[in-house]
Amino acid sequence: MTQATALILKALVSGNAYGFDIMDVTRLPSGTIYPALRRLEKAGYLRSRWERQGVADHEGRPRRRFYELTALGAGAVPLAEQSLTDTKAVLERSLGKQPG
Amino acid sequence: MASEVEGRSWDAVLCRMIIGCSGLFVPRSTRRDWREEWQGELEGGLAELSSAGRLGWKDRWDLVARACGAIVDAVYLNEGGMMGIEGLVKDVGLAFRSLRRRPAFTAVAIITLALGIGANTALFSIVNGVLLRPLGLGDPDRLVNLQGTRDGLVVGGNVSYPNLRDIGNTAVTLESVAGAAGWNPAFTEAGGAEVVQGLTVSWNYFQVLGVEPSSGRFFGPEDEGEGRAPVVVLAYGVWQRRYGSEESVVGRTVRIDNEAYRVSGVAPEGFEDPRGGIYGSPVDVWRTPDFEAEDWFRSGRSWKGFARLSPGVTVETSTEEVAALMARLEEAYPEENTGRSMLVTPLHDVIVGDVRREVVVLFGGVGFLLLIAGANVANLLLGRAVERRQEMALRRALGASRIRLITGYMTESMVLAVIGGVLGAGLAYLTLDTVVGLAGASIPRLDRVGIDPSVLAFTGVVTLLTGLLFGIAPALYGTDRTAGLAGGGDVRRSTGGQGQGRLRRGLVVAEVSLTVVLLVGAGLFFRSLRMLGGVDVGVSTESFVTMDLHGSAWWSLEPSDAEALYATVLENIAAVPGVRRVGAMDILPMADNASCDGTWRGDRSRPAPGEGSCTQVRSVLPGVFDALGMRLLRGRWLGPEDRPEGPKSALVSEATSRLFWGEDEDAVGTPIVVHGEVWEVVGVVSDVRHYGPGEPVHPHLYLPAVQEPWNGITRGLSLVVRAEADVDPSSLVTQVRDAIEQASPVIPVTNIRTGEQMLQGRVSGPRFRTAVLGSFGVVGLLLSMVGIVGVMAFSVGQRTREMGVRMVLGAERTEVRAMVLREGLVLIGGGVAIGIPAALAMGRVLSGLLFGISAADPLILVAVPFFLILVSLAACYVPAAKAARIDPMEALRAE
Repeated sequence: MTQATALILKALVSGNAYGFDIMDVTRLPSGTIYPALRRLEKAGYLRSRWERQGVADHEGRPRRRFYELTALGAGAVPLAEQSLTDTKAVLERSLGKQPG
Repeated sequence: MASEVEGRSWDAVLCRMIIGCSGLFVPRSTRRDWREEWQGELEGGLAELSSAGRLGWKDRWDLVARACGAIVDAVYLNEGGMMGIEGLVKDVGLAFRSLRRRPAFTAVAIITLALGIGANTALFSIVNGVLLRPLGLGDPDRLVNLQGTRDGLVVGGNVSYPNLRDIGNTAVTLESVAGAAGWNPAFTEAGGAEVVQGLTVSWNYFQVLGVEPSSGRFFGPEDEGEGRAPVVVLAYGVWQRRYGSEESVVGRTVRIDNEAYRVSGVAPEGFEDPRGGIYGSPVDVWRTPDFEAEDWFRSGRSWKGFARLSPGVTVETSTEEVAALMARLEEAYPEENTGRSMLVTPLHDVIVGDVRREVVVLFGGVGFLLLIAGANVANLLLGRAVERRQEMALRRALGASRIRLITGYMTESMVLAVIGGVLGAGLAYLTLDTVVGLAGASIPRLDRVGIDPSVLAFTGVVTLLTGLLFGIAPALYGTDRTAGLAGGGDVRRSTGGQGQGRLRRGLVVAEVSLTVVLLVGAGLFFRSLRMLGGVDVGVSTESFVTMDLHGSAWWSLEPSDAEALYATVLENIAAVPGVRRVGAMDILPMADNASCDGTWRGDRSRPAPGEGSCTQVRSVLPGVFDALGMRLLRGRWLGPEDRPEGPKSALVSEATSRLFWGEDEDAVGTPIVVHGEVWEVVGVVSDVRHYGPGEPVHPHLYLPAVQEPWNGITRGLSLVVRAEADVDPSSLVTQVRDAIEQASPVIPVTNIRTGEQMLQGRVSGPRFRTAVLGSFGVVGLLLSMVGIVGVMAFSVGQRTREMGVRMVLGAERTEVRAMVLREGLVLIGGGVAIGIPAALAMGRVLSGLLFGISAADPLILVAVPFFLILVSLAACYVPAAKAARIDPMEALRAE
């Protein structure tokens, strides 16, 4: 699992979100987020639905597309967390070796 | 509503363009959903920023950067079109091979793009440094300027320190208020005196600006007021330069103006006074006032005020409160405050306010240049698309999808754009110093201009957009089945398709019209500069040199000793071979500083508060008028006969005479009051335009420095040394400095400039914009001509047979030549017909930057089209002559 995939799965744990939301949480660039969302949706880890038109009209903007985890996606979250923890450990180890 | 309001903004338009173009690569089945999702995200983002009041440039750019993700997303979704990395690499390789086969086409396209993108990069780096780059201050959006007004007008904008303090103590919309006043100190330590730029600031100056010291501490309340221990904060640069970045300098005592100051701290690296000190140069050292605010005279307006808004408060709310508080101060102190108020304005606006229009106009001009360059490249690519239709037909017949072919075309235009972009960035890097040097002092914050990551990001976006926008039409045309590909026939016979012909002609018309706008703008600026050159500034600048003598050598002297020292200095200089005349004055014409002192006629009663007039008062030593080349109109000059103990004499300028005595009365022999004393007017001199040739004349009053012991003779004055007619004034500098040193070895000499340099400094703004827009106009003209010649040559090539038939039927060669020239003329005429009204519309933006002419100057509006038509006809002559040389039999046989 790539770090981007892990971060996106983790970002969606707390509920649904739209692309820019995920971008704000994960700090990943839009060019990474969207292809990853497409891939995850195709693989059945996510599903998307459109926001109700009324809500968007009320806020004076076009409607947004929300993404949420499927059961398969929710099942992959522990793996995503493990992947992130492993990365963090590797980073800390390698940074610890740096002088100063 | 927010999205409706923002829907027309540049970032919204840019985002839509990116999504619109990228969407072409998304499979048709999902394209609508895809576009809706991206539009929802971007317009939702804009609406949120708008409602949070965060529509700054940074946030807008962030949104555009996010929109660029749509390109990657679209590429990812286009799986069937071989858009994977492998396919991309293959396409790039193919594009390179294809471009290598046509070196002339490739070179012209790349040079065109490099010029367009390079000019945009250079200009954006100025926009970025001057307008966009943060001030380096904490929470800068809450920083405001407090500008003094008189009868509702901002004149200089200075305020009085007691008023500033009263506002600071009472305003609830302002969290804190600080002030700064000019200080012109010199380090007087062993190893030589060094004159630096200083500021006297209220103790909370750094806190209000939200900066932290790099070492030591900034000022505290105990550092301000009568009896305070003298302390200074050093600028980072001074700390490095003078003290070798030694930490131990903090707490140590340094000598400034022969006084001991303890160094309290060092300002952070890169910190500068947000308004460039008082006179526009970086500040080297800060100190606090050694007096209580309430003891300072309330009518003395020599302070710049600024403040930090309380959290959540808007500039408008604060303006209302400050105006109300100033009204109360006006009631309490009518003598000093009648008609006086303060205006609250965002600090950033005050710093860049004057140049915003200039920078925006030049950036608009460079945008036009990029459009011309882009249109030219689109034109070249369209021509190439026509040539390649047979190849495309073959590839399509072999099973290549249209999207695959479009991708190939687009890769080629992107490769061109990227090479052009890289060369353009290099070009900008190489020329930036020259461009900045040309701007001189006319634009603030130029020291912050450079090619940094945000400039490179801009170049990247411009490059991609250029490649995308100007590559798409040729790509669509070149792969369109209906555009001459049907039947897979012989494309050599085809005329290239009506559509592409119209499009190419349309592009040339657009190029010519944009060139007209650029040339009209450049022409207007050029004429305006010529008009400025013809204005008499009141001094003959061609053969004198000036230099400032720092006051530290005089401050501690008694007036008689100070006069004696000046006399020795002037005598020594007068003895230098090649010097014709020498004199001195406290503030020279066209200097950066000025004054405004309340003045009234001595035979009239003192005007009511707020109703008096002010004049620019100068302290002078005899000889200075002659050295400056000023003219005496009536009466006599000030001279050695005006002794300290004698009757007080004054010279008035023509404008002062008109202001107080009108056209009928003679000022000579009448009294005038200034600085609380009565002076007798002994003569009237010609006017001087203190702020330069483009500025109005201000009334001046000249007083003998010896009759102002504490305001004139014991202060540092500026020398004016006029050279003999055949002597270059700048060649006298070394000998003049030696002459000063002979009089006293401890006189620091600074700011050495010739009269011409002073004058040029005042017209550097108009000169800069004329040079920049003029060069854009020339490059635009060249590119348009390349476009016209390209289209005409292509048209002639396509119509060889038609021309052959015409000649066989009896057409003369001259008729064929005239026919081609006529076609070219139609294109140019179309461009001029659109360009002139567009230039007139743009004129409204330029009018504030012009001097002595209107934006609809008839000479320019006639000369530019005439010139353009002449040049274009010359350019069209090449393809026309080629057409006339066609051998009719050869042409027919070729079919």
